[in-house]
Amino acid sequence: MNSPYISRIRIENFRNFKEIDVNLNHKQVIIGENNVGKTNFLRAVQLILDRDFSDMDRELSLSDFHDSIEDPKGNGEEIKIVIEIRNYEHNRQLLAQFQDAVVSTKPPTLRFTYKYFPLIDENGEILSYKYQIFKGITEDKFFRSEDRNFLNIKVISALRDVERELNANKRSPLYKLVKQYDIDKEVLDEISEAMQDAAEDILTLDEIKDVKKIIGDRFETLAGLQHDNEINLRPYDIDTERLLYTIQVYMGLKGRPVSELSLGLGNILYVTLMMLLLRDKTVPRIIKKETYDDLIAKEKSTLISENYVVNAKGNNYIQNDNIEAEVRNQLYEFFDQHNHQLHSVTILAVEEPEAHLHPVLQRLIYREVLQKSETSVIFTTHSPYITAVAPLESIVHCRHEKGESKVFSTANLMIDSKDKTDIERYLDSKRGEMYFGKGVLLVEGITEEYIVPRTAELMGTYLDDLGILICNVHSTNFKPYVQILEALDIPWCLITDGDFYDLEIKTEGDKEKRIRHYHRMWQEKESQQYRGLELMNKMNVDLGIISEAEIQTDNIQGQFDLLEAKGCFVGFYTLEIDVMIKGGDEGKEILKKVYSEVRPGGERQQRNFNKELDKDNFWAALSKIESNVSKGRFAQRFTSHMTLNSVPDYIKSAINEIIKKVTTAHE
Amino acid sequence: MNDKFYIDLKLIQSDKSQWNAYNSKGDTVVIAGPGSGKTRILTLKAIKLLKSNIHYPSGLACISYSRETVRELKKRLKEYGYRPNGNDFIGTMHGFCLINILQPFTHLFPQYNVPLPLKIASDELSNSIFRGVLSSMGIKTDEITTKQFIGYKMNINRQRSLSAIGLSQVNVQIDAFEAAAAKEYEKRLENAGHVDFVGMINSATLMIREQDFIKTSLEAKFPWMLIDEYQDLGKALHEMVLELQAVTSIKIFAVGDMNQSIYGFNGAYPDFLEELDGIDDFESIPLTSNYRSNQDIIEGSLDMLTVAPPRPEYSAKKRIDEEAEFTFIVCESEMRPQYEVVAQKVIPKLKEKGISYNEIGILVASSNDVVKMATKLNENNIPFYIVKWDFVNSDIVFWLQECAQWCLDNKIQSFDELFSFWQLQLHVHESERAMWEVIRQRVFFHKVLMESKAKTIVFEWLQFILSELDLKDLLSNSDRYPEENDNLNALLDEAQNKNLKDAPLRRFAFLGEPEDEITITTRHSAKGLEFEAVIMLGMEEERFPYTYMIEEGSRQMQEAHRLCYVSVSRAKRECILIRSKKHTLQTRRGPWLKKYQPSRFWDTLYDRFGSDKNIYKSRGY
Repeated sequence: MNSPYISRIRIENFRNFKEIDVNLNHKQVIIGENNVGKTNFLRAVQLILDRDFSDMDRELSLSDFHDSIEDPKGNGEEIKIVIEIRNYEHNRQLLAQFQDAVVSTKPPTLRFTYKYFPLIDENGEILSYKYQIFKGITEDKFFRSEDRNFLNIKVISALRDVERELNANKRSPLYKLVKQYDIDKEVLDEISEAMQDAAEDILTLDEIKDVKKIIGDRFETLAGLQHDNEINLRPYDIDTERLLYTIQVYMGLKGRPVSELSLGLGNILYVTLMMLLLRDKTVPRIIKKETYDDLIAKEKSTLISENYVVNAKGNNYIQNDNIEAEVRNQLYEFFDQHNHQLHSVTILAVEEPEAHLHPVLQRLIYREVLQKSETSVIFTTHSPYITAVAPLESIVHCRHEKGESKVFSTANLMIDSKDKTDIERYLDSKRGEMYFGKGVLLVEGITEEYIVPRTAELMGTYLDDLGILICNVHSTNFKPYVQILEALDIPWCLITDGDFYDLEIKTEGDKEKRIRHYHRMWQEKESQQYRGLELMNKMNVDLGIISEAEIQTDNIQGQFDLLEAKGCFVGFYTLEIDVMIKGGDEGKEILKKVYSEVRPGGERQQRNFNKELDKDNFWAALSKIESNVSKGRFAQRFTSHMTLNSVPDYIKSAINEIIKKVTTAHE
Repeated sequence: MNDKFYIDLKLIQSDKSQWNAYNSKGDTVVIAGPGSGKTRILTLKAIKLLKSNIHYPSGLACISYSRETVRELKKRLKEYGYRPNGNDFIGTMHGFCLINILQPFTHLFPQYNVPLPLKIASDELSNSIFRGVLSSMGIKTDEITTKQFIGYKMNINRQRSLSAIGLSQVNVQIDAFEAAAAKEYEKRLENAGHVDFVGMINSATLMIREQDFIKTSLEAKFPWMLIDEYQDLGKALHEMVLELQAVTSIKIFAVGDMNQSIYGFNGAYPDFLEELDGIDDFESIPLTSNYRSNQDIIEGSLDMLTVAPPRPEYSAKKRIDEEAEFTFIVCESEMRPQYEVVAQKVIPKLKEKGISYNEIGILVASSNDVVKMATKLNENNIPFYIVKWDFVNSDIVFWLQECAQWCLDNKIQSFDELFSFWQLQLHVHESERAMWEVIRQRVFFHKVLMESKAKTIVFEWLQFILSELDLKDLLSNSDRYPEENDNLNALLDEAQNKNLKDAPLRRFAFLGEPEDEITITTRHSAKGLEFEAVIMLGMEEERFPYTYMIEEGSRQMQEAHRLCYVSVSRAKRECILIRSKKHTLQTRRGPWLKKYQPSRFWDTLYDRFGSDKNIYKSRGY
C-alpha cells in the first residue's frame, strides 16, 4: 500500500521563490542547477513537517523574504507555504487526526499552511512578525507538534557524515530499527547478565588481579584516611538498553566495520536503513504471543494464523515471507483496525543520493527505490543515472527565470501508455540527459544528430557550452517529448523533415482514395503537400499550442512560418535531399568526396553515385548511400567536410532560435 | 482510573444486568428504568472504553440531551480520573453536528447549502419568517394569539425534526399543512442565509447518510459512540445511529427509557428507542433494579403509565421493605394557597422529620410557576435552587460561571481553557483585540479576572466583567449567538432585581450544584433528579394532564402520563400532592372561577395509598 505523499506545494515570497505552485507525485526527483533553490524547496516543506526543526528554526526572519521584495516589513508582506497531502485515506490514524485539514474528498486531500506574517495592532502599526501553521481552509485550526507525530518528513542532507550517523548510538538508524520491534525487556536482561558473567572471567586472570592490587595500594596511600576507598575493576558495563545499540553492521565475509566501508557503500547502507525505518508499520513483522492469542480470541480471523508462524521458542509469531499483494492488503486493513501503536508516516527526502556512488549502483538502487518502495521519497539530484530510471511523472525541475526560481513538474502529464513506455526506455538509454538541458533541440534521425551540432560550430557556437542538447527521437513522434519539455518549462525547438509528396486522388466506386507518392521531386506550379507539415500542425493543435483557426489552409508558406514561430522547423524533402539541393555544385563535390571515403566497394560504385548526383537524381543517390553505406556513417563523415553552404536554412534558423531561447531565459 | 472508579465498579459487579452492560462488546441498547444507575454505567463504560478500546488519535463520542446532562456526565467522568483528550467529544447533539460534521465538512459539500460561516437565526428572524410562512398559507397572523403562534411554530418544528429520513421504519404521521409550512420555512431561512438548530441537525444527518467520506472519517475518529437519554434525542439522531451502525464499524452504546420520553412535542418519540431495541444486531439489556425508591413509589409511579402489558417489573434494591408516605393536600382556589402551604407548612414539617433541604424537590407545571414558588420561599427565608432560570444556560453563561469559579478557587478551573474560550470569541466576532499578540490578550484577560475578585456580589461582578471585556459589544450582531445579549440582560436582571439579588458570587459560580437548598423545577426539568420527598403542585384534571383538544390514548395524552411517571419516580420515599378546587379561567366574557376535579393521577395514587388519615385541607394540615 503506497504511503501518503505531498501532492502539491505552493510557495510565496520564500527565499528563491516569489510565487510557485506545483503538483507532485509519490516519488519525486528534483533537478536543477546549483543555487536554484532545490534545498530551499525542501526547507519549505520542513518548516511544516520536520520533527527535528526547533521553534527557532521555524521562526523565519526578514532575510528569508524573496530578494525582489523591497522593505517586506514596511509593506506588511507575508511568506506563505502550502502543502497538500493525498493517498492517506487508508490510514485510520491520519483520518482521525486530520479531519480539520481536509480540503477535498475527490480524492481525499489534506492541506497545511505555514504563514509568516506581521502582527498589526489596532492602529495599523506592525508590532512584530510571527509564524503560524494552520490546518485546512480556515486559519483557526492549528497544526501542532503532536500532528507531526503522525505525519512528518525526514531529510537526509547532502553534507552528511554517514559513518558518524551509523555509529551514533541512540540516533543510529539501525538502533531505531531494532527498537521498533519492542523486544521483551526480560530477554534482554538475561542476555545482558550472561554477558556480564562471561566478562567477569577477565577479572580472574592473574595479571588483572595484580593490576587491581597495585592500583589499590597506591590509591590508599594517597587517599589517606578516606573511608570506602576500595578500588574494584569491572569490564565494560553492559546495561540492557545499551545492548541494543552495541549492535552494528559489519559487511562481507571478513566482517568489515562501517568505518572501513567505502563512502559509497556506507551511503547505500544508510539509505537502506532509513527506508526500512520509514516503512509503514501498520502490519507488524513479529507479533508477541500474548497479542497473537488475544487477536485470535477476539477476532476469530484466520488471516493471522495463516500468515504468521510461531518461532522455535514459542514466544513470538513471525510473518511469512512472500505474502501475496491481495492478502497483504487484507492484513493492512485488519491491522489498521487492531494495531493501535502510533505509527507515524514519514516522507523521506534525500539530497544528492548519488554521493560517492558508482553509476551502476546508482541505477540499481534507485530503480528499486523509485519504482518499488511504498514510502514516498523525494530526491534532489544532479545524477542523470537517477533521472534515467525515474518514472516519467516524477520529475520536478527548478529553474531561474527573470530573477526568481520557478518550479515545474511532470506530475500531471497525460501521456498515453504506449508512448510512455517508449519514452521511458528512451530516457533510460540516454541516461535521462534530456532533463538536464538548458534547452533541447529535438530531431528525428541520425543525420540531424550529426549535422546540427557541426552546423552550430560552423556558425560559431558550441551547443554543449550553452547546455543545449540534441535529442534524437528516432521517429516523428515528437509529441510526448514536447509534452515533457513543456511541463518542465525547458526551452525547446524541433527539426523535422518536410516529406513532400505527390497526391493522387483515385475514385473507386463512390469512394475517394488518396494516394501519397513520396520520393518525387516537386515541379513548379504543381500543388504542394508536406507530410511533415501536416504532422506538426496536428501535434501543435493536439497540445493546444496553436489553434485550428490559426492554420492558413491555402497558404503553405504561412503554415511553415507559424510552425517556426512555435519552434517547429520543417524541411522540404528529407534532410539529406535538402542538403544535396542546397549545396549546389560545390556541395555535390563534397558529397562525392565523403562517399569516396566511406564506400565499401570500388571505383565503379563511386561512379554510379557521382552520376546520379550530377543528374540531380537525388533520391537515387540517397538510396545508394542507404544501401551501400548507411545514413549514419555517411552523416558522421560528412560533418568533417561540410560547409555552411550545404545546410538548409531551416536548420540554421532552428539553431539560432534555440540559442536565442536559452540565452534570453538566462538573462 | 482511580480509587473511585474501582469502588463504583465493585458496586455494579453485584448487579448482573449492570455488569453485562458494562462488559458488552458490541452494539448495545440499555433500557434503564428510573434509579437504575444508568449514568454510573455510562460513565464507567466510557472510562473503560477510553482505557482499553479507544486508541489515540481516535476518541470517544458521548452525546447527551442537554447542556445540563452533559455537565453532569463530564463531572462524573472527572471524578473517575478522566482527563479530556482533544479528540474526544462529550456534548449535545447540536455540538456533535456542529463540531464533527458541519464545521469540517460543509465546505467540501456545498450542495447542502449550509451557509459558511454558520449564521444562526435569531428568534426575531425565525419568528418573522414563521409569520411570513403562516400568512402565505392563509393564516391571519395578526389575529392569532401569541400562544397559538407558539403552537404553530412548535408543530412545524416538530414536523421538521421528524422529516429526517433514512433507515428507520417508524411510521411518522405527517400533517400536510405542517409539512408544507416546514418546507416553505426552510426555503425562506436558506434564502435569508441562516440556519437554525433543527436545520443544522437535519443537514448533518443528511450529509452523514449521503457522503461515505464523512462516514469513513467518523469511523476513524470514533470507534464507539455512547448516547445518553436516547428517547429524548429525536429522529435525526436515530437515523444517524442506524446509518452508522449499518454501514460503519462504529459501535453504539445507547442508554434510554421509553417510559421517560417526555419531549414528543419536539418530535422525540419513544418509538425510536423501541425500534433500536428491536434490532437484532443490538444486545438489549434492561436494567430493572431500582436503587432510588422504595417498592411503593415504584408501583405508584408505574400506575401512572398507560403502557401496553406486560407492566414493567422493577424492584427496589436499596430501600427494601420500606413503605412510602403519601400526603394529599386540597386547597380552596388558585395556585397561591398551594405555594403558601408548601412554604409555610409542608417544608417545615419535612424539616422537622429530619429531611434536609437538598432532599426536597418541588415540581410545578411551568417556569412561570417556578418563579412564583421561588418568590414565596424567598419570603419565608427558605434557601432554594432553580433548575431552569429565566436566562438560558448558554455557552457564554456557562463560561461566565466557570470564570467565577476560577475567581473563587483557581484550582477548579483551568485559566488556559477560560482564556481560549474568550480568545475564540474575539476571533469569531472579529474584535479588534483579536489582532493583539496572544500574550497581550492573556495578560489583559488575567488582569480583568484578578481585579474582578474584588467584586463579591453577583451583580457587581457580572457588571465588571461584562464591561471590562466589552462582552455586550462583542456579542452584538453575533452570528454564532444571536440571542446572547438578550440572555445576558436577563441574567443581569436576575442578579440585580430577582432571585440572585445581593447573592454572593459563589451562588452564581455554583448555580448548577445545589448546596443545602430546596430544588424548584418544572416537571420536565425534573428528569435525572432525585429527592427523599417530592412535592407535586397543580394536580388538577384538565390542567395536569392538560386535556383541551387532546384525545384519550393520543400521543400527547400518553406523554402526559409518562411525565407524571417521571415526576413520581423522582421520590425515594415520600410524595406530597397538592391541588386546588377552583382556578380562574380567562374567557372571552371575562374571568371565570371554574371548578376543577382532582387529576386522574391524584385519583389513581389516592386509590392505592390514600385514606382519610393522609388527606388534608390546606388550612387543616
